[in-house]
Amino acid sequence: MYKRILVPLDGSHNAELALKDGIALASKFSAKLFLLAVADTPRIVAYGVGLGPKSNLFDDVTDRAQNLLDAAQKQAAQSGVDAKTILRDGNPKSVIAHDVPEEEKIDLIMIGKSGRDALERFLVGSTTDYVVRHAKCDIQIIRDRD
Amino acid sequence: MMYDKILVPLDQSHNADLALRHAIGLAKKFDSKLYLINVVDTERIAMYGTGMGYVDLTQDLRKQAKELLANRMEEVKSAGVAGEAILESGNPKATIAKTAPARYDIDLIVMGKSGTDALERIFIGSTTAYVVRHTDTNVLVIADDGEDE
Repeated sequence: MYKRILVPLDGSHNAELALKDGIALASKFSAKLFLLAVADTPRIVAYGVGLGPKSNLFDDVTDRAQNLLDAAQKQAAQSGVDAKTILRDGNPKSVIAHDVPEEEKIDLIMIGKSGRDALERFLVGSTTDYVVRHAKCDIQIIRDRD
Repeated sequence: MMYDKILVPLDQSHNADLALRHAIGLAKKFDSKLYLINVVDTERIAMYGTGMGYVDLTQDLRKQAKELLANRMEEVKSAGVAGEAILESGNPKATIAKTAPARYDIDLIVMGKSGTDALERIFIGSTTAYVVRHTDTNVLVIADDGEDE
């Protein structure tokens, strides 16, 4: 049923749950996992002006994202699941909903419910909402049941 | 892990049948039980059908829903999957998002992306959008396959 499963990671608890279920599904279907972290450059530019040299802030965010991906890849490997890590700059909504699914021919996105912060959710709706509305493949929305 | 009980909301749409086919595939893989549900929208009927017609219309819709569920249960059984049919009356959105998952201890809701009517097909059905926002259960949204009803 599913051969190429995408899990976007942002360090949130629900994204961790999505990763756990993504690994389990990939193992069951002998699918390949695609682990994605997006360094949100428009936001960094919006908030980061005047905070110091731009490049340091970019490096910081990029390092954190890469660590997140490496840890997730290791977790997948422990369950015998092959995972590719993808680190991108840009707007998370379009990267998760359009760019990576099209490039990697993704058939299922496993995404945590409202991974982003409360303020953005209030203002423009969450990344998850956007992905559910706009992605062309199947999507599973994961949340903490407790 | 992880899908013991899967809820599949059914209506007369092609997308609901697509979701059912996916759910059957998952159930085979995970040895899950499927709960097929149809909710007769009594609130909507009350809006349009005041007066004598109300009871008849409700009974008609319940009869249609029963036939739909029985028909789809055959599909589930012939795939060798355990299933149960649930016929409810009330608000479909709230029933699918909250009441039914709690009552049947559902692990996953599988539903089609678009609704039955043409306007909803443009983006995402209002029931699906509501359920994704409001349920505490995991939801698998099945993409349209581009085929018409």
